[in-house]
Amino acid sequence: MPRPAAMEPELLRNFPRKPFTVFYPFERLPPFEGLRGRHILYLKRCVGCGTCAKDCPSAAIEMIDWPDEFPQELKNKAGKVPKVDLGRCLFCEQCVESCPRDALEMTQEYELATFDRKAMEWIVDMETE
Amino acid sequence: MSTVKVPIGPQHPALKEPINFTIEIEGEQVVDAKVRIGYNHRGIEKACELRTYVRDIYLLERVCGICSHSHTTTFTQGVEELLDEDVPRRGLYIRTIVCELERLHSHMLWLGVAGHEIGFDTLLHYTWRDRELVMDFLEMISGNRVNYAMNTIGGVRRDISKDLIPTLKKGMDTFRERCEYYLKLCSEEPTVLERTQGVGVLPTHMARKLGAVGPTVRASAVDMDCRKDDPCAAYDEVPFEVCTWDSCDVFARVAVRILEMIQSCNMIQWMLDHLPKDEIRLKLKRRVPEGEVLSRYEAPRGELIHYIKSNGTDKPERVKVRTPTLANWPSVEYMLKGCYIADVPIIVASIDPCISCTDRVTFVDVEKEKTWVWDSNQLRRYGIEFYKKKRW
Amino acid sequence: MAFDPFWYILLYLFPQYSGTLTILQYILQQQGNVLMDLFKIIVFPGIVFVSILSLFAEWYDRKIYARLQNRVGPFHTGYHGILQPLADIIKLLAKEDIVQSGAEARSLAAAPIFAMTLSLVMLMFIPVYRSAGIISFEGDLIVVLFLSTLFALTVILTGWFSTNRFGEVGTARAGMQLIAYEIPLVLSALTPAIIVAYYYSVPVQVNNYLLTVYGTLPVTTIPTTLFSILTIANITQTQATIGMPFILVAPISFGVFIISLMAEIEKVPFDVPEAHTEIVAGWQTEISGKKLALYRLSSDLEYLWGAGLAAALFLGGPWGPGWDIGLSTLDRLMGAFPWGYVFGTIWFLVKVFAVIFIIANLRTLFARFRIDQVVQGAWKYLIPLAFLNILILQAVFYFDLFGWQSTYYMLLWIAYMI
Repeated sequence: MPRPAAMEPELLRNFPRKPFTVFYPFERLPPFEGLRGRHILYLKRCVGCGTCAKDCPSAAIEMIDWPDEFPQELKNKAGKVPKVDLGRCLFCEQCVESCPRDALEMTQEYELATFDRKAMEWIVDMETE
Repeated sequence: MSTVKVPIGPQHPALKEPINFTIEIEGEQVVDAKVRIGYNHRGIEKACELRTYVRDIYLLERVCGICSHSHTTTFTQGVEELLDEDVPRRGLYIRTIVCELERLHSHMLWLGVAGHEIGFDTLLHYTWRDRELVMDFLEMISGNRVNYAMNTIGGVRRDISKDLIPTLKKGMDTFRERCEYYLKLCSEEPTVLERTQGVGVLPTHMARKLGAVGPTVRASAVDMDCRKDDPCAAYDEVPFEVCTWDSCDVFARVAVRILEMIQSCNMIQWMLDHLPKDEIRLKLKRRVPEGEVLSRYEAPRGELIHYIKSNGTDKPERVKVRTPTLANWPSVEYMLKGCYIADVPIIVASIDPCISCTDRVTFVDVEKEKTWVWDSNQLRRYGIEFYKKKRW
Repeated sequence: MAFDPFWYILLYLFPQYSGTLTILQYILQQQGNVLMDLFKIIVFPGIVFVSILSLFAEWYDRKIYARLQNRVGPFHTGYHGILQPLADIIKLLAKEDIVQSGAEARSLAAAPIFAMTLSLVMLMFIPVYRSAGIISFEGDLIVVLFLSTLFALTVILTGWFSTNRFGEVGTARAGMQLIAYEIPLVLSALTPAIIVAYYYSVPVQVNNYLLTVYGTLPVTTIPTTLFSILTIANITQTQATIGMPFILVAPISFGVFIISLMAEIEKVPFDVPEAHTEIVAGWQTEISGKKLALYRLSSDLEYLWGAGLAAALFLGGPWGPGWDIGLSTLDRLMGAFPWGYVFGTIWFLVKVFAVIFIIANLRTLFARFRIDQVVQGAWKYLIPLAFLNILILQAVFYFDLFGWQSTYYMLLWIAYMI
C-alpha cells in the first residue's frame, strides 16, 4: 500500500541521535581481536628457511642476509631473515600460517601509512624473547 | 524525430567502474543500447597459471571486492574435488556462515546503491550504516572487513569462538528487523515504487532465453538457485527457501534481494546453533593430481563458475572464471531497449554489475578463425603507440 | 524619512554626534537619501547580508539533511563546518575555468553572471525587517514570480550554450520542469493575494459606502486597485494587521508552494535537470571554475529567496506575535532605538530557517522522480490542489465560516446587489 513519506518516523527518530560517523583520526575504535596488522618476527625461532617468501601471494617477502644491527648471537644457520614490503603486502597471514617454527606473527597495528616509499620496505620488527 | 547517441561511461557518475553503454535516445526514450566491456582487464586468469594453488587463493580473492569469499569458496572446493578429500563439517559450516554474511553485506550495499541511483540518498546512508554491523561481524570472525582470507584448501583458517556466537545471533536478529523494515519501506514509499515498478521488465521466458543468473533470474519468477540445485559446502543441510518474485521488474529484484537477506539471517542463526564439533581444516598436500573440474557456487550476484585444470604440479594449468555479471549483460541490453533515459542507471544497477570481475580480453580473427591473447608487454606497447598517434 | 531605522541606530550608537548626524540626515534627505539606499542595497538587507545568510542557510540545510540521515554533515571547516559553503565557493573561484571547444564561450560566461544578478534582484523584493523589501511597488509579487521564471531561462540557456549531450538532455528537462512547476507556483503564491483581496478590495469595488463599514477593521493601509493586492508588502502587512499568518487559512497552498519551490530550486525529488546518476550534471556538466562558483552562490540565493518568499506570503514575514508589545515596552525603556526592526529581522530569520528545515526534511524523504512523472504529478495533483485551496477560501469567505466578516456586511452586499 503506497504511503507517502513512509520514512518520516524513522528520520525523526534518528534526528536527535548521535551521528553514526566516527571521526577517525580523532577517535579510534578499538580493533577486534584477530585483526591482521603489521608483522612481528621472533628472531630466536626463525631458521631462515624462506617458506614465507615462497608462499607469499604478492611476493612481498624477500629473504635478505642477516643485517648488522640485528644481534649476531641469534644468527641462524642460513643467515637469512625475511624483509616485508608493506606496500605490496596483502595482510592475508599466509606467511604466519606457512612458517614451520611460528616465528612470524601479526600485530594489531593497522595505521601503516607513510610519506616515504622506502619506509614501507622494512625488515620486520624483531622480538628477541 | 532524429535520434541522439549518448555515451554512458566509461566514466560516468552512475557507474562505479568503467563500462560503456552507447544508448540511442529519442527525446527521453531509449531506442537502442549497446554494451561495451573491456576497459578494466586485469589478467587475473593468466596470473593464476603462474602461481601455486595456495597463492592463487589470495589472488582470486581479489577478483571482486564484494564477493571475495565467493571466489575463494568456488576455487577451494574445486581444488578439494581434484584432491578427492572430504573437508570436515565444521570447516564447511564456518565457510557457509561467512558466505551468508557476505551475501548480507553485498545485498545491503546493493540496496543502498539502488537507492542512490534513483536519487534516494537517505536509503543509501541508512543501509550502509546498518551494513556496518555485518562488516564488524566479518572482521570479528576473519580479521578483515573485505578480504577475509578465510578459505584455504582443505577447510577454513579460523574458528568461530564460543563467546562470539551469542553476539552473532543477537546481531542477526537486529539485522533481520532492519531488512523487514526496508522491505516495508520499499513497498510503501510511493516514489520508490514509481521508479521501480514496471521498469526494466525481463519476462520469464526472456530471462530463461538470455541466460540470466542470480537474483535477476529469481526476480523473473524462475526458481533457480545454485545453493539448492547443486548444493556445495553446508547448503545440503541448512534449511532455506529460494526466494522468487513474479513481477519481473526492478522492484522484484529489490524484493528478492531483501527476502534473501532475511533468509540468510535465519540460515546463519541455524548454523550457529548446529555447529558441528570436529576439525576446521585438513592439512593437504600441495601437489594436485592431474584432472579438470568445474566448480559452481551461488555468489550474491548469481551463479559463479570456476573451471580448473591441473597438470600434476603445484600450479594450475588453466583457471577460468565465469562471473555472474557476464551472464547478465544480454538481459541488460534487452531491458534497456524502450526504457526512459532516467531509468538507465537503475536498470544497469539492478543486476548488481561487477565490471572489473567480468572483463576478459581475447583477440578473435573471424576470417582466419583464430583467437589469441596479448601479454602485458604487448598491451603496454600498443597503448603507448595508440596515445602517440592520438597526440594526447 | 524621519522614521528610517538606520538613523535611529546611528543616533543610538553615537549620541555625542547627534547634532552632526541630524545635519547629515537633513542634507541627505535633500539629496534624496541616495547614500541610505546604497547602504540598504549593498550592506543590509542587501547583497552582503543576503549572501552571508544564503551561505549560512546552505550550511544549515546540509547539516539538517545530514542529521536526518544519521550523519554529521560538514564538520571540519570552522565551528561544526559553518564555513564549508564559503570554502567551497572560494575553492571553485580558484579553479581553472575550462571551456570546451564548440561551446558558445561568451554566452556561457554571461549566463552565470545573469543568474547571479537575477537572484540578487529577486532577493531585494523579500521583506526582511519591515513589511516591504528594498524594492517594493504595486504588483511586485508578479514581477518576482516572473524573475524566477527568467532564472529558469538562464539554466536553459546555459545547457544550450554548453553544447554538451548531457547538457542538452538536462536543458530539455529543465524546460519540461518549468512547464510543470510554474503554474502551481504562481497559483499558490497568488492565494495570499486573494485573501488580501477579500479583506480590502471587494467593498472598494462595490461601493464607497461599504468602504467605511469595512473600515472598522484595524486597517492601516487600504489597497484600492488590483495591483496593490499583488504586492508583497500589503500581504505581509495584512497578516500583521489581522494577527494571523495565512498558512492557517491556506495550508494546502503552502504545501503546493513548497513543493513547486523545490522544483524551482532543483532539490531532490525534482533535481531531474541535474540528476547526477543519470546525466552527469545535466545543464551544469560543462560548467567549471568561477562559473560554477557563481552558479552555486546563485542557487543558494534562490533557495533563500524561496524560503523568504514562503515566509513573507504564508508565515507573516517579519511580523511575529509579541511584536507590538516588545516594541512598545522596549521603546519606553531604550528610547529611540528601533526595536521593531530588530524583532522583525529575528522573526524573519526564524521563519526562513523553519521553511528551510521543512525543505531539508522533504529532501531526505523521496526518491527522484522521472521527468514525465514530474509533469504528470504537477498537472494531476498540484494544480488541482492549488485550485482546491482557492475554492475552499471562496467558500469560507462567501459563507463566512470563520466569522471574520460581519453578517451585516453580507446583508448590505446582498441589498446592494438587489
